[in-house]
Amino acid sequence: MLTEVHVPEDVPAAVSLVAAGATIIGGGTSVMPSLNDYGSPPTELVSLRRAGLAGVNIDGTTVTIGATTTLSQIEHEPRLEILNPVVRSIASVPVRNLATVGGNLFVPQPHGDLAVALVALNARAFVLGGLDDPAAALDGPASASNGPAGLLGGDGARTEVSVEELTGARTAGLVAAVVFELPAPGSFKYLKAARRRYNSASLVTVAATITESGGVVTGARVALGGVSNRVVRARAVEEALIGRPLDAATVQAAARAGLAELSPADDAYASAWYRRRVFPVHLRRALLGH
Amino acid sequence: MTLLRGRGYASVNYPTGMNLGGDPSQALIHATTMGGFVVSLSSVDLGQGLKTVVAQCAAETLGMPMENVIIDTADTDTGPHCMGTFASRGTHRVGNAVIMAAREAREVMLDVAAEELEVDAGDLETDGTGYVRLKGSPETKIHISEVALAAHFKQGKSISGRGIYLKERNYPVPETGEMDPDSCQAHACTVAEVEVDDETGVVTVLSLHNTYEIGRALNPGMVAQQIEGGAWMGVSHAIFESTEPYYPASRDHGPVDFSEYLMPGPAEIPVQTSVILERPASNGPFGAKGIGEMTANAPIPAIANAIFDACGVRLTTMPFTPESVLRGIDARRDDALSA
Amino acid sequence: MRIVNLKVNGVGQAFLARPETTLLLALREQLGLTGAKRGCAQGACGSCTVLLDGEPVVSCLVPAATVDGADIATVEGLADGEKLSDVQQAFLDGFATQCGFCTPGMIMSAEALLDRNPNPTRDEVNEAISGNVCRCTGYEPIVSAILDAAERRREGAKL
Repeated sequence: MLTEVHVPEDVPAAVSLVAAGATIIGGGTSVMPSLNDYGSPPTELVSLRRAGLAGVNIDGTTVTIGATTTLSQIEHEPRLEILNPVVRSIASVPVRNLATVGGNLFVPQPHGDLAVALVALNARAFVLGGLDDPAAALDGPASASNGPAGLLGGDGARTEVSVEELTGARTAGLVAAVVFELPAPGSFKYLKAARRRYNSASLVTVAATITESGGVVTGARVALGGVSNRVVRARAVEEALIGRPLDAATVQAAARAGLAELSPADDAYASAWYRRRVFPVHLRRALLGH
Repeated sequence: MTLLRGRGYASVNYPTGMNLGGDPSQALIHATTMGGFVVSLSSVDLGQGLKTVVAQCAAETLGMPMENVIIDTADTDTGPHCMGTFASRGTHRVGNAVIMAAREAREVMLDVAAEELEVDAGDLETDGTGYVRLKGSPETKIHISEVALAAHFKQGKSISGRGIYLKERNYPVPETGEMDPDSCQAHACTVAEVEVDDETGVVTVLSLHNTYEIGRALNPGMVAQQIEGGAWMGVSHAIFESTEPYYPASRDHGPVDFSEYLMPGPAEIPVQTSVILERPASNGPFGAKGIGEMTANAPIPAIANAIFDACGVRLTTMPFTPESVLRGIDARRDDALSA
Repeated sequence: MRIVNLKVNGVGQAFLARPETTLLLALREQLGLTGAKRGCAQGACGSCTVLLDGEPVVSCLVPAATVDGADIATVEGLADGEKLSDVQQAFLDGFATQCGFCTPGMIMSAEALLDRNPNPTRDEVNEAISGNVCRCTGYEPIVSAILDAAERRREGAKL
């Protein structure tokens, strides 16, 4: 049951509340369903709604997204067209108007498709309060007054960690923002196989940044969702792609190599058997478009 | 990847009402001082529109506008008995009871009007807009509000009526097993068209064409909605929902709460047509049969047959998940290869 | 326990909120606005959909304390006296409701869609209401009513 809902007005207040053990609530789409049954132990929430962590900043090709930016805000941000199909594949409009980028990094699989895309985009996260040291305080002049860009100024004690590392761990700190470089046009690929056209968790999510030159793949970052208890960085798939032409035969071999990296579970959407069975199909559709 | 198309159909007979230990519903009608007619029932409208259909039956029988009819579904502790709204019995049982009550109330209403107009009750008719008038001389008329006021404050008469419809309990003939357990049967047929993705087993229901024979469509708009809304439920059971007896507990990988319970959304709905046929039932209200429950039934086997037509996979357990379709396709491919 | 201030359908309101008071419960129990429904309490059925600062949200997931000062629109605020909104009238004329439980949420999602996109495609309508579950109608009359409402709004804007 809820014993208190704190609504701090700035980042330092939010960080100390988190350090004191309060449960973070971004949009509430992950936290509130279980609290609404009134069966949870006494819980204090710290809402980030007013902490000043929302906003998108693009400097050249460097994108910084504040952690409490909602999925809808990304959907309607014309400079982030690349993420538009990703956020629209997640949940429904009234949920996306609440759900936050930061929240999507920690929601359990088979949810968390934005996190999958961010891993494929080699995104980093800025964590305040430290990953391993919950007592680490925020020093220096970093403040929320300039939105997420302001968080990157000053000497505030923050940890920078790859989103890939973050999604597999529990953090004791507060994610303040994610940062990534916009990929070359046409190099980012995304497909989410689901049970319904809109508003369904993932069966298999494929996000990839692929660069080609001279008719062969020169760079590949492939991330998978729905096929394990965390986002999978599909290294075996990447190795099987590099140096080869991006065609059906290559992708088929890459899928075969990738199967060993999957550890899917049975859930309400599909069984482990099914996810393994259709993974090669969806990898091909994501990378080749058919 | 190939998208395989298939078509299948199924038909259904569906009984109206049940045998039980006898299956009754009662209705009571009385006029207010201003000419409204309150229909008192214990029957529950759970959103299926019973109140509307019953008001139509009352208004039609009384000869009064719908606006004058007030349906009061009261309190089951105090109201006139109804077995309940299930077994597609509502329209049939409650409709019949309301018609019977309305007939009695109409008789009293015409008697009161006859005395006010100083004519014979047998020479009176209603015009459907709220007036009782003399047949052949429509200028000689009186409004129902005046009739009701006269009944209450001059004549001391209660414009009211009582109705009951009982389907008597029926026992099977021991020698032959024949019996009469329901009042009438409605019929339906659905043709389904589907598309099967042979790489993922995903089934898309493209269209459903429905024909229903339901005695009399008392409210055609509501009938069409029941057909098409029910067909959506059929698609949902067929392709998405897990309606097993032990749901939701003790399942290895079923949905454990609402947010995981899959149902088709607006992007999954098939194109639908529905045709209504009427072959009036002799014991139905204005000939109507029940249509409440049957509308999810025919679409499901129609879809199963369409899947079989599309890819040769015969499924007999719902839901027809992509996995069950894909396993079926795999088995057929393996059989073909080893043959 | 704290006092929360909201502007609801244009009128300033203040009420006492416990920590577990969601926006939905505040609207229904404190303010008597029962159009928004308690369905699943998980944000999955959409029957609690209201507009928060103009955007549709599932109000069962919003602790009231976190939205102090916000602008809320519910179905009760749409009509102008006896005159229904274009969306409400289109739902009525198009027979787009049976039991009515999903209807307020559907209407609010539709109003927000048309505020943002006056000429939606059928698929855009599907996406806009994909968070609102209906068990009765099979969605077709609702989608048609929303497309009809869009046309009414466009006609109205021309006059």
